[in-house]
Amino acid sequence: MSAGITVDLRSAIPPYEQIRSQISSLIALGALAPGTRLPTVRSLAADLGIAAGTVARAYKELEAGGLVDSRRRGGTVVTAPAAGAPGSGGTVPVPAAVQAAVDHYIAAGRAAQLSDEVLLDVLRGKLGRDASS
Amino acid sequence: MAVVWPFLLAAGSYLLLRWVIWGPGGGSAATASQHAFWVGIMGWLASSLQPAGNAGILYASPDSQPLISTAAIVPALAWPILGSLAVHAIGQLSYPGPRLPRRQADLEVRRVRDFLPRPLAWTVLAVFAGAALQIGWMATLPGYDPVPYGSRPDPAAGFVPYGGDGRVPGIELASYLGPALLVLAVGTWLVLVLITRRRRLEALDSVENSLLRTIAMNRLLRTVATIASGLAAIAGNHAARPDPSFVSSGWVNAAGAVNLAVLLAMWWWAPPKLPAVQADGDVPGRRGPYAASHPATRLSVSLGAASGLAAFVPALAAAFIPGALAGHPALVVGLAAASVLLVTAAGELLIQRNYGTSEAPRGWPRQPVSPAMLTTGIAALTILAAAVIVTSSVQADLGILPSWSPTLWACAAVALVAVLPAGAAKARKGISTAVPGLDAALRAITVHRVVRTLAASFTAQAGVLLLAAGPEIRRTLELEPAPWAWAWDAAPFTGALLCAAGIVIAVIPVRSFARSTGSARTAAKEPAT
Repeated sequence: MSAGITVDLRSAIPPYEQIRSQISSLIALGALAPGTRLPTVRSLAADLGIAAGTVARAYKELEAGGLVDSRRRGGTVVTAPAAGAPGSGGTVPVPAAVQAAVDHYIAAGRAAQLSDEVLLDVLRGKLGRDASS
Repeated sequence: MAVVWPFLLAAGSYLLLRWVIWGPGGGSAATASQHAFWVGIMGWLASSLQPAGNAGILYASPDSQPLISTAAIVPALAWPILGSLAVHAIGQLSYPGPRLPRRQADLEVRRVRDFLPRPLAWTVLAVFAGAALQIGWMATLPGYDPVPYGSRPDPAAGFVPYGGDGRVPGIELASYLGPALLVLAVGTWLVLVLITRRRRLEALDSVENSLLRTIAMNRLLRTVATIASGLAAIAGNHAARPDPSFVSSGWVNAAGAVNLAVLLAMWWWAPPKLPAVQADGDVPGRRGPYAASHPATRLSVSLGAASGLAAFVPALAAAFIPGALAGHPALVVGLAAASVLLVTAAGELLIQRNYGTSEAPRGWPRQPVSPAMLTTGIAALTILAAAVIVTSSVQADLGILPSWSPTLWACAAVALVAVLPAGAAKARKGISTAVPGLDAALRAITVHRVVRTLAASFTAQAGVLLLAAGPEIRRTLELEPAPWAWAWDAAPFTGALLCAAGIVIAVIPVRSFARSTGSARTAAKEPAT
C-alpha cells in the first residue's frame, strides 16, 4: 500500500510547502520507511499537474532537513528520521500514543462533520496559543 | 508527402484519442476504458504486415513486381511496426492532465513489472524468441532463381510440370526482418515504460490507474505478438519455397499457421476490466433488470454478433463462386453492407413474430439516431460524394475509362436495402412488456445500426474508389502533368485511411454513440458489437 499526498491549488499554502509537509509527516508517522524511494520529480509533477520546479523545491527542502537523500543514480530516498528542533525541517518519530491521539481527534472531527480545513485550523490555533503562552 | 503523412496520421490519431477521453462524459472510468479500447483497435488496424507477405520472393511471372528492394521492403515493414507502436505511445500521451484544484498522487516508484500481465508477457516473449529463431534459420538458406512455368515430356508420366517462384538469399531478407524484429522489441519495451510512467488519471483511484496500465500493456503486447509472428510468417514463407529447378509437389508455410494460431490466441486474450466499468456494464442490476432480461432485448443484442458474421458474406461468396468478386472491390463492400442490413431487417421481423402484439402500443424513439451518429452519417455521405465527383471529373478530363459507376450503383443498392430494416423498425408491432420505453429503445437500436452500416459503407466505398482509381490516374498524369497531380500521390494513403475509418465506424458499439441521448427510452443498450 503506497502513501499518497494531496495538493490543493486553492490553498494559501504554496504547493511546494504542501508537498514538503505531507512527505515530512508521512516519514514521521512511519508510512514512508527509511530506504523508501520517492518518485522522480518529473513523475510526481506530472501526476499532480504542477511544475517540476515546485516538486524539486519540496525535495530540496526535505533534503536540507535531512529527511531524504537525493542520489544521482538511486533517485530520492527516505533517510532515517533525525531528531531536530521544531521548525528546522527535521522531524522525530511520532510515538504511538500521539498517533492514537491524532487518530482519535480526526475521528471525533469527522463525527462532528467538521471539514479537514477546520480541523487543521483548530490544531494550528491550539499550537499557536500554547507556543505564545 | 511521404514524410508528411506519418505526422498527419499521428496528429489525427492524437486528436481522435483526445476526443474520446475529453469528449462528452470525459474523464470517467468508462471513457478511460473506451480510450484504451480505441487505442487497441487503431493499433491493430495499423499492424497488418499483409503488403510484406511475399517479401524476398522472386516471381516466376514477369508481370508481378517482386518485393525485394530496400525501397519496397522497408516501408512495408516500417508502417505496421512503427505505426502500431506510435498509436500505443500516442494513446498514453493523449491522456489529459489533472484539472481539479485538488490533486492527488501516490508516492511510489512505478516499475514495468508492477503492471505487466505476466502470463501474457511470457507468451509474447516466447513468440518473439520463436520469430527470432525462424528468421535466424531463414538467414542460412540459399536463394533460387525463378523458373517460368512449363512442362516437359516424361517417359513415365507423359508430361511433368515444372517451374515456380524463386527467392532471394535468406541472409538478404533476414537483414530486413531481423532489424524489424529488434525495432519492434525495443519499441515495445519503450512503450511499456511509457505506459508505466504516464501521468495518473484523476478520475480513477490508485487501483484503477494501475489496472488501466495493465489493460494498456495487454493491448500493446497482444498487438506486437501478432506483428512478431507475422515477421516469422514472412520468413517462413521464404523458407518454405522449394527450389523451382526441381519438380516439387508443393510447399507449406508452417510459420504462417503458427501466425494464425497466435492471432487467434491474442484475439482471445481479453484484457481485464476496470471495476467501475464492470459495475456499469451490469445493466440489469442498475438500470432495470427487466429491460435486459426481456427476450426481445436478448434477441436484439445477439443480432450484433450475427451482423458481424454477416459482414464476411463476401468472403464466403468468393470461396464458393471463385472469381465472382475479383476486381470488384465496390461489390465486396456493398455485399458486406447489404448482408448486415438484411440481418438487421430479419431481426426486426423476428422481434415482431415472436414478441409483437397488436394490443401493445407502438413506441417510436424521440431521437432515433444520436446527433454524433447522424453527423457521422452525413460526413460519410459528403466524403463519398466528394470522392465520386473528383474521380469522375478527373477521369473525364484525362480520358480514362470511368471506374466510379460501380461505386455509385453499389451505394445506391445498399441505400435501397437499408429501407428494409428501417421500414421494419418503423412498421413492426409493439412489444408486450412492462418496461417503459423498451419497445422504442429496440427500434432506436435498429435505426442506429442502419445508419452506422450506411456510414461505414459509404466511407469504405470512398476509400476503395480512391484506391482503385488512383494508380491509373497517376500513370496518366505522368504522361500529362497537371498542377494538381501531387494530390493524387496521396490517393492511396487517403483511400487506406478511409477504408480503416469505415471499419472503425462499423464496429462502433451502440452504447458509445447512444450515451449522449440520455433518454429513458434507450434503456436497453447493446453491450459491444
